[in-house]
Amino acid sequence: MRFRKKKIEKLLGEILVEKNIITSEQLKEVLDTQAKEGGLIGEIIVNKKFATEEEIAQCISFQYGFPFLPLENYDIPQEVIKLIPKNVAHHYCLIPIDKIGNTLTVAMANPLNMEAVEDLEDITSLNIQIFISTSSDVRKAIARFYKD
Amino acid sequence: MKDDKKISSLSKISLKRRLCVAFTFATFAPIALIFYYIINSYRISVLAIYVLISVILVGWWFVFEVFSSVIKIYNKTQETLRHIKDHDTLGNIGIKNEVERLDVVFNMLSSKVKESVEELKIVSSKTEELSRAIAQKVKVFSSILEANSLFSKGAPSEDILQFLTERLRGIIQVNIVVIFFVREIEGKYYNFFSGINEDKVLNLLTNENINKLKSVITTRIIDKNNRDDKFLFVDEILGTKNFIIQPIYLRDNIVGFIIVGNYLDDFAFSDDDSEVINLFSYNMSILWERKNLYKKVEDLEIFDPLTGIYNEKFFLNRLEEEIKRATTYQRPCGLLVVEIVNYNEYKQKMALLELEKLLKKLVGIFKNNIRPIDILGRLREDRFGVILIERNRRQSQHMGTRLKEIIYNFLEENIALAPQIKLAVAENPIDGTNSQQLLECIHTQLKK
Repeated sequence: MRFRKKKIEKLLGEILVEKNIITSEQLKEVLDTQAKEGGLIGEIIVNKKFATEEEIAQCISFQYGFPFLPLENYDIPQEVIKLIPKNVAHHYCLIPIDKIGNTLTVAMANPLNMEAVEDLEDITSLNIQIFISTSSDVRKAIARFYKD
Repeated sequence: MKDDKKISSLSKISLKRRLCVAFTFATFAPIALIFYYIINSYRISVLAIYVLISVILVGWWFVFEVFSSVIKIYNKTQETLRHIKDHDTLGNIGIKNEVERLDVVFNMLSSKVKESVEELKIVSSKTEELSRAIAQKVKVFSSILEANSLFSKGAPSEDILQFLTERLRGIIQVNIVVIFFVREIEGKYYNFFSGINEDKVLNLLTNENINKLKSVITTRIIDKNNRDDKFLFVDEILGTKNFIIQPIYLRDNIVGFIIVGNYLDDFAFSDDDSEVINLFSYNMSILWERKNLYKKVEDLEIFDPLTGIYNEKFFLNRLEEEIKRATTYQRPCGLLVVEIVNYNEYKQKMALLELEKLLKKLVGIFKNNIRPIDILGRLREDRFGVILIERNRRQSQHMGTRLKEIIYNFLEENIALAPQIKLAVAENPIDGTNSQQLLECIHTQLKK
């Protein structure tokens, strides 16, 4: 399945309120914190314990149709890992998990980051298939599979 | 008139001859005449008596002439003494005889003349010293004025300080001059020297030696009159026999030192030498402060003076900040650089004013075709850069191609001798994780 650009109609916060994962007051508080201290909205929600990473990932998966993939017990071959440099994986919080033919499967914490997907296409010259995962799962996997 | 002629004719005859003439008239001639009458048993007539008396009177007139000329000289000497205010001294001598007094006066006057000649010699040597000192001062002030004029013309401070170093060596005629400034924050020494090689200067400027020199808080002279074993290391390193260490003060803080020295035996520095060094140290401290202030202003400047867009330093700071921000938000950060090919050759062909107009036009094109959030800056004389916020390489490349097309359209329509344009893009994170890596990527592309 080739990556197709998804039309982002709603922001993450709005979707989470709509799905009753967080309240609108909590969203306001999160937005205030982001305005003051910066940071990603998903990470702030998790830090404030308004929702878990899995709940957010499931929500995005449901909204945009990206399959959810827990990475805890996933084994990734080194030749696949080598397709994406560590700094790019770390920067965009993603990890390549498989390559079949001209398609590279990638697990991402934020599959709506279209610029990141374009970069992956440019780096690998492959079609990109996206899975969604939690950012802590992705970071753990990066630490596990990228060895300097 | 006739009397005057007579006097002038008599004045040409010496006093001795005049006395002989007087003696002849007053004594010899009357006696000879009386003998003549007695021998011939003539009776002395009235006429003869008259002639005799006339001859005697002529003789006495000659005597009078002699003495009056002496008195005249005496009076003149009195007048001279009165002029030189030594008349009372003569009055105390107690001699009434004018001739003897005249002798005393002559002795006094000749000793006075001797004294005056001695004084004159002293005065002339002092005048010579004074004129030398004035010439030195003129050299000092002209050097300082020249240094200031160089500064106002925008000459680099290092060149001006080196110029003053050379001048100082010439003015106080020493063999070597070493000047150094300490920049405490950076822990660096800025040295200027003349008459000595760099190796010796570097040997002198070790931390240990600098700490010893820092104990000098006023001018320290080491010569035949002043010795101090504490500073023997200066002699040993520089090879000098006499030297002066002058601290350079800036608002009560020592910021550097001037060391001047020579290789002469049995030599002592003059007060003028240390005064000149002091003056130089004062002016050098002003120049040093100006240099530091100028650097501060340069550091604070963020805009390119010609185009009004961000200068290279500020642009790179912003790029670094944007990269950090992009990393935090997991977003890309694009960098687009446009270079005018063979800029220097183009600069020579084109009038400066025309070139400036062209650069401003290009900046106008950039501004009109990038987003308000993108950041435009001048990287070098021939390079412009744009930080494309949250744009990846593909998007940056697309923006670059569009921009190049617009620029070429403008150049073709407006500039007869249009320059060639080169374009390069880089992106964080693909091409690097910091501004330096992105710029290296850009340089590699532009070199191709």
